[in-house]
Amino acid sequence: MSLPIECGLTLLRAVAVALVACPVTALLAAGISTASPRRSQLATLALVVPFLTPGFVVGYAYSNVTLSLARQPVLNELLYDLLLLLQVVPVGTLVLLFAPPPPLGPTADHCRRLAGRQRLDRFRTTRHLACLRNGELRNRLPAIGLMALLVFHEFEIASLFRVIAGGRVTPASWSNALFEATALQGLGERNPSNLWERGWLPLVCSLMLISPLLSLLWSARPAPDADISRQRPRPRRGVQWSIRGWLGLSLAAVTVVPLVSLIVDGWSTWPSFWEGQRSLHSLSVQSARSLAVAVVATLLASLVAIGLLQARRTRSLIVLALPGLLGSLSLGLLLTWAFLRFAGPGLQHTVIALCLGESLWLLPRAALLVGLLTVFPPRKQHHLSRLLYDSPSREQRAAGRRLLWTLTGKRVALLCGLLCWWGFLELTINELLAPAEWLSVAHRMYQQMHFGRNGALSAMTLLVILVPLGWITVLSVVGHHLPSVLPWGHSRRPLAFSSGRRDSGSLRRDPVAQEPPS
Amino acid sequence: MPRRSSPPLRCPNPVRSNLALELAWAILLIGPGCSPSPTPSTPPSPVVTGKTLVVYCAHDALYADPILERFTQETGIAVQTRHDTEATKSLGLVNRLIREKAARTCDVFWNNQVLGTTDLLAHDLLVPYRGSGWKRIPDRFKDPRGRWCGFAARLRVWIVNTDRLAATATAIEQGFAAADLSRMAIARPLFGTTLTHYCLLWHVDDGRTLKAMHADTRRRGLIEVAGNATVKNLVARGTCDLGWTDSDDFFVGIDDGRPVAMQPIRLPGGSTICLPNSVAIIKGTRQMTAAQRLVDFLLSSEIELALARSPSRQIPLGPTDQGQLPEDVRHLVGWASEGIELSGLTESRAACLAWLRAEYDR
Repeated sequence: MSLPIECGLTLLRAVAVALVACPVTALLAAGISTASPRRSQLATLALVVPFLTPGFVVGYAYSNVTLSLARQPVLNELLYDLLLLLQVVPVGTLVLLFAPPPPLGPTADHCRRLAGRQRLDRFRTTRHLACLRNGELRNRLPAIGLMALLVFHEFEIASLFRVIAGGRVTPASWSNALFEATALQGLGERNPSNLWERGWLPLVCSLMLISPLLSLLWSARPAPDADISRQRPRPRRGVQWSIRGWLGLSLAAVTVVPLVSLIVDGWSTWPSFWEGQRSLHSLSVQSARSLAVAVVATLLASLVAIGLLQARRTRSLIVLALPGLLGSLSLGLLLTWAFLRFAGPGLQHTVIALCLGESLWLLPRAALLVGLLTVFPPRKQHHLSRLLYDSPSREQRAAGRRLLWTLTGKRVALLCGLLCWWGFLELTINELLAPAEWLSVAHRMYQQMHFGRNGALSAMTLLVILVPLGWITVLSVVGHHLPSVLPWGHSRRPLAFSSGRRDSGSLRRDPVAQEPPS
Repeated sequence: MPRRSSPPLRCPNPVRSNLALELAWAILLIGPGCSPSPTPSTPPSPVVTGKTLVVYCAHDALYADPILERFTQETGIAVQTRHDTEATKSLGLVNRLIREKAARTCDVFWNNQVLGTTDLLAHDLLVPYRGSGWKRIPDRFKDPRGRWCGFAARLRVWIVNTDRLAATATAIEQGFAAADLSRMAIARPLFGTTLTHYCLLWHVDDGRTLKAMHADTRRRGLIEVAGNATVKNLVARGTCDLGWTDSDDFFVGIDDGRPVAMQPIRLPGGSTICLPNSVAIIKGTRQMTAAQRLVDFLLSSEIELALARSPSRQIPLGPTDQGQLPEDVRHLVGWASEGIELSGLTESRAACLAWLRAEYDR
């Protein structure tokens, strides 16, 4: 199947999955935003964890199932689509939860209906399309676009599921096709511009899918601290049960089943694995190197995102983040082209190229996380916490320390932890830019997964996943016990991307901010 | 855009002046991970002589890594390996080596077959070396100038699920001729040993029979998957009845206790397909002595024996004590001796590959 056809089929799948996901995200967003703070936190956790589960682990877990479906390509495609749906729904839901409310709410809509269409038709802003654009669709369209983009760029599961039955490829995947063209046919090696000839179509598709989100971000204005959220009615009991069911299903299918299968598969090989210290040694060295690259990329991406957001250079940030938003393969090929064109092949497979590529890939995520996690607390809260921490009273100092941790340390640790997690498990940029000795350990695991399942591989994969988790734990512990060195400033003004609803919704409700300690 | 007025409380440290502290905090928080490749206390690291030897290895990591680790243990020369995926194996690395011609990073190329390595000859990428290992390998498996040398071979085989099909030549022939081929699997022929298999079929009559067979099998629903290991999995699990794979993958199925059997694949002339590994030193290496030591190490009878005893049951090509060979491998030696000559396939390979690329890009 040619690349344009694979690209078209992948796009079709992406749009279909995103459209199916759309009502689910609306339901989940409504349920989570109206739940009690504790339930909301639990639901958000259950929502996010499947998205954070690495695709190659999911693909590996279901590789035997997909083998059984090799002769039923339709079922194979449906299984793949279902897994993708479960993985991208959290992203759409988060967009709906954190995006500022659209200008036209239900009240405006109700007034418009009361006034009658004919009376308002002479005002351009009240026409049907304008109302749609400024109503619910304003946030849903970016959510759909982002979900479609993620589906469009997915390749880890597709690569492990890919079968040709009677000449028909299932699942179609442009990224697999383009990757093979690069790896097998040396695309771009003679003439770097050949990369553009093949890569322009996926790039255009990606830009098309990301444009609603970019448009939303481009037109975003920093909102004041005022509570502009609107009360939503609490979903009915049946709907609440549906939400719980969905969260349970996605958590079970995308996270629990893969992890349990890794544990069960690897159980019998654990003793021999620990005895084989050479393997463990090389795995440790590879993990440490991968972590080092992930940490450097995290630092670079975070600092750039924070710096540009604080300087309110939102548009510069969007331009810088655009290559990362286009997916790791597009970004990797862009950098490959740039290195071949301007620096020669000498720089292509170096640690510098790898760190640069990973940083650019992480940058949009870093920017979104800085905004979503409100890494910079409001000035008043931060200052009061510092005053409390500087108090002569021991109890008050302890309370101040807890406050500082809650306000800044925890959020910074979460930001760094999540970025490290993604950076550590990234595969494509590694393949295209890493020198042999710096090839990530996740990439090595992924290569071996193409040989089928075995106990040793499952055990190693589990260990590899534990490395960044261990690192996040270390970050948390260090951050918790060293609040005195917390220098993170507070924002004198709201950050760009800030929704201005920070303290209003239950998700963002901060008990510390609302109930200052006595 | 209007700015907000200053808040009533005066803050001791404005945001911008905190940048240095922020950096310090970030480094404190994240810094420990930046230390390059921490060395665990056990086991002791090998004594590294100079820089690390970079090996591009198309052989399965599962089998190659222990061999390379043994080399490091014995010589103190550290090795960094770059493997290729099952899907793109050997061809991906060959292309990478050609691509890196101007800025070489690889010192030694361990290919899991001969074709591909011989492609590098045309690009003048290989260094001649006729060491002790090269001398012990028969002439038909090595370059006379010593630019590459074969060792430890595999066979292309039919793998059959014995619960569904008898592992006889007749039953296999009938299975292959069935109207519905959706119970037969092969690896995609664009790469790996299936590509070599296709090249040999192409070589028979410039691809005429191969093209017809390819179109016909696809029309009858043939299953094509990423690699030979997946073919083995499909047959071992009973999803397919038969398939083409390599002998090392077949033995994994046997070791897993699956109901599988094999028959060697025979070409129109009756020859079998015996595929040796090959090793070559890449031109421009700055670790010539270490690279030569690795080549001699891989071509030694100890390593051929070790590979024969490994789960992949590779067939030794040089003189080896037959008594020490496992029963499975002794069985294969006879078939391997009937293997077709692999030299002189360069043109057929190029033509076949060009046709396949066009075929799969439609």
